Parts: sequence; C-alpha cells; structure tokens
Amino acid sequence: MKIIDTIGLSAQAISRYPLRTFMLVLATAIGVAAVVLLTAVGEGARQYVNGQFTSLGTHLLIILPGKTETSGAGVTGVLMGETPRDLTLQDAIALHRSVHVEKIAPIILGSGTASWQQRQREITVIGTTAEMLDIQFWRIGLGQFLPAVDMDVATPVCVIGSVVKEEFFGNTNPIGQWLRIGDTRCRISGTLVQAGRTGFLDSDELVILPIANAQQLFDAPGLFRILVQATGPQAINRAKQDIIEIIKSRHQGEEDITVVTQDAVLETFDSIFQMITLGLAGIAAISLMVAGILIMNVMLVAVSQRTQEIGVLKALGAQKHQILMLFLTEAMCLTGLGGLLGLILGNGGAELLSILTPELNFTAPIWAMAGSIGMATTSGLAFSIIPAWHAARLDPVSALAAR
Amino acid sequence: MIKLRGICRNFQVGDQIVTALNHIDLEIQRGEYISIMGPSGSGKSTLLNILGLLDRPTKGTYWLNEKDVSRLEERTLAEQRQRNIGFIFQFFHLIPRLSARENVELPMLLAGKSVDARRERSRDVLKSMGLANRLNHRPDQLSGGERQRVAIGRAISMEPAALLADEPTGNLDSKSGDEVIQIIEQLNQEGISLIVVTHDPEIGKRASRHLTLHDGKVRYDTKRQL
Repeated sequence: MKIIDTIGLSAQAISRYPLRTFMLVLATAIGVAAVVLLTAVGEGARQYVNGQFTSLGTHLLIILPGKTETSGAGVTGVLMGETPRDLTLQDAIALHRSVHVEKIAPIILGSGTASWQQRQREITVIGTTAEMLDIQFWRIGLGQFLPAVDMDVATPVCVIGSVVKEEFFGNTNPIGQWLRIGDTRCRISGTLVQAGRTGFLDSDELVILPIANAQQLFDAPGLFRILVQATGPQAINRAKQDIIEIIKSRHQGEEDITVVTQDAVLETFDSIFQMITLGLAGIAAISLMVAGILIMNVMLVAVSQRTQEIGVLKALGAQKHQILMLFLTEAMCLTGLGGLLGLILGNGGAELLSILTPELNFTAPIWAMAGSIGMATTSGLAFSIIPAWHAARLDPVSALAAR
Repeated sequence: MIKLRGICRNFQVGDQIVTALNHIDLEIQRGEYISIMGPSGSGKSTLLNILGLLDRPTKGTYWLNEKDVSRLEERTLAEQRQRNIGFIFQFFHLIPRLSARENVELPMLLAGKSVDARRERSRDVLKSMGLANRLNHRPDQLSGGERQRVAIGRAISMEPAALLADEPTGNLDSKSGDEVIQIIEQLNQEGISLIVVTHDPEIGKRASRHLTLHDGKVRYDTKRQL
C-alpha cells in the first residue's frame, strides 16, 4: 500500500468522525498551546530582566570581601573559624591606581534611628561616595548629592530617598534641615528622585551619608562592598585583574575578595530564568501527556467501533502492518492537526499578552515550539500503538462477526 | 484448484471443545459452481472461512493451486487471499464512509496499485454491475441490491480465481436477490470458481454441484455420486 493512500484513508476516517476529531485535536492543541504560551512567558520574563540589567550599564564590578570558592576562605573559612579580612576604605582608595577604573563607590550598609523634630523612624543608612550617584544611575530631586571630597573626609551632610523625604517633611523643603541619625546629626543636602529598587538597594528608603561619617556612626571600618565602574565595557576584565592585583598586594598576597561583574550576575539571572522556563515547559508537557492518554482512549474506542471494518480489510488481503499503519497514521494526523492548531493558539495568546503588557515581549522560543509539536506527535504515536496493535491482531473471522 | 484432506476445525467454547469441521475431504476444480447447504451449526461458514484463508484448520491439509496453505504464516496467507479469493457477505460489509468506487478500489489500494489503474478498473467493474451512475454514492445512499453489487465489484476487482459468497441474498428482497445471483452466475460463466453458502434451497439448487454438511461432515456431495 502506498503512503499517500494510507494518509488518504486516514483522512477519510478523520473527516467522517468530526466530534472525535474535534476532541482529539482540541486536547492536543491545548497541550501544545500551553507549552508555547508558558515558555513564551518565561522567555519574556528572562528578556525583561536582561533588559533591566543592560539598562543599568554593563561595566559595573562589585567587590565583596571573602572568596566565594569552595577551596577559598568563603563558607569553609567561616566554618573553620576564619573570618575573611575586611575591605577597608584604604583598599578602595588604592583602586584609583588602576587606569581601567573610572569611578569607585565603597559602601557601608546599616540601619539606625533617624529623627527630625518629633518624628522618628528606623531607616537604612548607606555610607558611600559622590560617585555612587552615577554608578547607580540615581537622580537628584532637590539640592545636591554628597560632596566630591576625599573618601576619608567626614562631612556632616546626607541625602535622603523620596520615601524618607515624604515621611519626615511632606511637602516642605528639607534642604538645610538637620536630621539626627543615631548619635550624630547631619544637614540634608539633597533628595533623590523616586526610582524604586535597583539591584540590591531600594534608594527611596535610604539615607545616604559620606562613607567616613557612616564608619563613625557604625564604628565599623569594614566595607560592605565596593562598587567600581570600569572605563568602558571592554575594560571590565582588565579592571577586574587590576582590582584583584591591587587588593592582593595590600592583603599580604592573599586573594581574599570576590569580584562579581555584571555579566556574571546577568548570567546567574539568565540561568535562573531558563530553569523557570524549562519548569513551566515541563508543567505544560503534563497536559500533553494527558492529551496522549486521551488519544489512546479514543483510538481504542475507534478500533472497537471499527472491528468489522478491520475484518473486512483483512478479508480483502490487508496485512497486519497495513492495519497498524492505518491507525497510527490516523493518530499522527490527528495530533499533527492538534499541534498546528496549538501553535496558532499559543503564539496568538503570546501575541495578545505582549499587546496587553507593552513593557514585556512574549515570544515562545523555537525549541519550545518544535519540542511541543514533536512531543505531541510522539505521544500520539506512542499512545496509539496499543490500540493499533490490538486492531492489527484481530482475528478476521471474529472481527467480521462483530456487531 | 482446491484440495482438502482430513480438515478439522475445533473451537474452544468455555471448557468444551466444539468440533465444527470433522475430517472434510473435498476437491474443487477451477470454474466450478458449488453450493454449500446444511442446517445452522453444520459448519458451512467455518468451511467457507477455511476455503477463503480467513481461518486455519486445526488438523488436515489444504492445497490451493498445488500449494500447501494450511500452515502458512499470516503474512503469506493475506497475500494468497488478496490474489486468489474474493468474498461476498450477507451484510455486504462495505466501508460506510467510502464511496462505491472507493470501496471497489480498496483491495487494489491495499495491493499497492496505482491510482490510474484503480480508477480504470473500478469504473469498468461498477459499469458491468450496472452501477455506472452510482460511482460516487456512499453505501447509505444505495439500495440493498446495489450495495451487494458494489460488494461483488470489490470482491472481483483483483480478478481472483474463486468467489466465496456467504448467504449473498440473505439480506435482500427476492428481486434484488435474483439480480445478485444472476451477476455471480455470469461471473462463473466467465471462468471464476463460485462457492455459495446458503440456507435457501432455491438458490442452492441452481449450482451445478451441491454439497450438504451435517455436524461438520460432508453428508451429500452430488459430484461423488456421479
């Protein structure tokens, strides 16, 4: 029997039982559409996060105290009673020696009680330098940012985030007011424009002090981390080398820092989102499996409905493998149709989502589309093997006698 | 053409073994016209199924064209059936979703014949059955007699050596029944061997050789008496 004739016979069977065809096509289509849509959502989220990171500027390096390597003084060091050597302000100042480093913002993070007149509030305090403004892409609302003085010079000024400003001062101008933080007082020199969370900081809730003041306030010489902006995207690796060399020479030749580039952060997020997308695809694949079970049931019913027909085909000289092929082809055609419909539905749904949320772009990856179609037809095939084999093995005499 | 020796066919029904055919010896020449009669349960249909290679004997040997086909595997059996045997059934057994023409083409399609050859043969066959204007009708648009004529067309589309008919008129009124009998007798005149299983003595009598079965044995064979 020719392949084209097999498909022709299957197509006739498919068009002759419209309800059954509709059910199977729909079940498969829902499965495929679910895979396409969910992976599109995961992929859209991944691209959104990527875009956010890129908009932050990609030539940022983050220096953390301690070496996060299994062999280093990271977690094992802590367990063995070693504490990583602190990063000091002098370390940060020394980084200026590298020609690939453009801006340096050491950071100390802590919390304290801020008060102004009768109002009091627990706030996050960050000590840093003037260069932090550019590194974090913060924008000044009123007044000005921290003074561009040497890092170790303490000036009693501070900059407050939009939420802090709102809660202490409402609509009045806070510039020049003295804010009490813990035991010290500082004059408010500026406010930040509301920006929301960027990276690990929520600038709206911050009070920003010069780094030297923060060191006094918390009485802690160690830096939380140092943010460094390289001179350009191409300088990142050289800046990283320089930073490691400089700190090493200052720490008795020990490499006890971790330099995270934004690429690395980006990669981490990227792989997280890829895992999420895969997970979503896996969940959606379950619906394809359910569709597969349905296919098996419907094909079993089809075989028992058409027992006589199978008997006739055998009486007319049909071989076992021909009967097998007929039913397998039928299932493949049905799931193929369902897969196509699913692609249309899934991509249509993703398109609709993209229109509804303009800041996100949902497009299913090619692998998800190809994979779901492949899985649909494979499950169509796999789940109809039993019914088809059942049909092929029927005894012609009893099949003909079946009512 | 056909030679049976000591053919037995047993069926397992529950714990019991039922003997449907009990040592049948039979020879059929090419072009013969035989009717097989006998009461219900006498083994007529079982014999026809074995002759038509739909069923295999429990014991005994069956030579078809000098070839022992009683122990063939299913694959070869299907080929032999395709080439040598045409079936007509009481309930026509047409595929309901296929047109008359497609039903006639079905055996040729299974045999892998080309579209053109199928088209030509099916048109010729249906024309000779007087169904030239019914080519594209589906079975449910045809009368009983027309359906059986389509079934005959399907049975002979591969030009088999033998036409086996199981109660071909059992589901037809007498007028269409007569037409059907006339058609298959005409085919027999043209050289095909015709074996008809029937209840109806009127139809049985028309055959040139009568075979009567009883309890799985040949009780009466006009040829042997001659």
